[in-house]
Amino acid sequence: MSSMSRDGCIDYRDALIMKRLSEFSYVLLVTGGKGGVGKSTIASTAALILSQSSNRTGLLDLDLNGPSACLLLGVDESPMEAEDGLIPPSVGGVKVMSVDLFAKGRPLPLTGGAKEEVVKEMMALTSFGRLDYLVVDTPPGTGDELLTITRLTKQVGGAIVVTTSSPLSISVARRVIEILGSMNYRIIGVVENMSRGEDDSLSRRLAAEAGVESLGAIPFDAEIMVGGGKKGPEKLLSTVFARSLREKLRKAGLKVV
Amino acid sequence: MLVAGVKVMDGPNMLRHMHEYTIAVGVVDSLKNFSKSSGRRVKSFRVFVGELSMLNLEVLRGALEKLIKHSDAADAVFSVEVERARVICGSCGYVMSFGEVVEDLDDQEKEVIHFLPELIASYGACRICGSKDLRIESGRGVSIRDVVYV
Repeated sequence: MSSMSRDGCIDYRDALIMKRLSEFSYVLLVTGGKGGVGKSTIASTAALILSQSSNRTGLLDLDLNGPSACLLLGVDESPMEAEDGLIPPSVGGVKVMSVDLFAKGRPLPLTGGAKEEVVKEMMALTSFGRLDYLVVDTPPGTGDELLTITRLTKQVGGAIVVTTSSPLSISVARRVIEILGSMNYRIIGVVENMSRGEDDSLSRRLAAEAGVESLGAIPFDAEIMVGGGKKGPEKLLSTVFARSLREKLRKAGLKVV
Repeated sequence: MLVAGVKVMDGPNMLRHMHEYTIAVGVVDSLKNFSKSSGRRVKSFRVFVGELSMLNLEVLRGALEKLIKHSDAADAVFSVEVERARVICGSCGYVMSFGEVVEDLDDQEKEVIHFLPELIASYGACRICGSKDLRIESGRGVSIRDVVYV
């Protein structure tokens, strides 16, 4: 970090990011590639479960075009500014940072280069403090947000790849796994979400082919959708979905009680 | 509002100086890290501050002077300069200046741009065609340039 470009420039944010990352014991990337497979719900609920298990936990929502963590968790307070950076608001013990805390529901027409700037800015400025887990919600696709956060956190990170049983979702998840593998990013498991009890052999085969653990299937839970997604911590944690996710996180070796 | 070293982002008459301090720490730590990894001493550098960041230049300069005294680059000469903002509309090609970008924003909205300049399109639009397809060509944030070392 803090290397100089050929034209004699140094990005000051690299030093800040390095300092922030040194305060995190583990960065849990929730990814999968395909939109609508439940990455945000899994990331938000996983953060709550980790916090409930006495871990110091943060949640970084990097779905820059369509952030939903604030809506899911019912967070709308602005970050506080302190000497060490921006202090994120907390809900259910989870410190939450999202671009939506700044955009407040407005449109986010960000292009590729701008997304990388926002990711670096949020990583550099956010003062999560010491964390046992920083959970990162990534957007659909394999673009700038995923590549930037993967590059920045690969020393302390591990990824959960989320898919559904749909062959379309599986095919995108396979690409994500290949990209993460090419960057030597640790994959701690593949989880099949929104399972309706059908055959989970496709996601199991995906995990086997990639040489990573299959964490199993989370059953489809209609309760998650009630209220248009505005759940809040207590309701999220009381769902069948959350109970199943808790098992998967435990299976993945995370500190969950 | 300033309470025990912490201020709430919302509010019209806020001091913004804590952000300048955070950035100054990042700049000086970057130079320290560079010296450490390269084994070289920084002789001079220039800090460019994009207009869109709306940082207080004097506060940033003061924080840099204070922090750099206790670093490997204590003798380094530096300048703090403004980089003019150019925001281009991707739809019609119109180039907006800083004044045009922030003209209709209130203090709270400017505070958001101060932290995340890329959100200009969330709060504004092209003055000519109304499009939100805005790209920052220059003047977004802080950069360290023309680093000379021995």
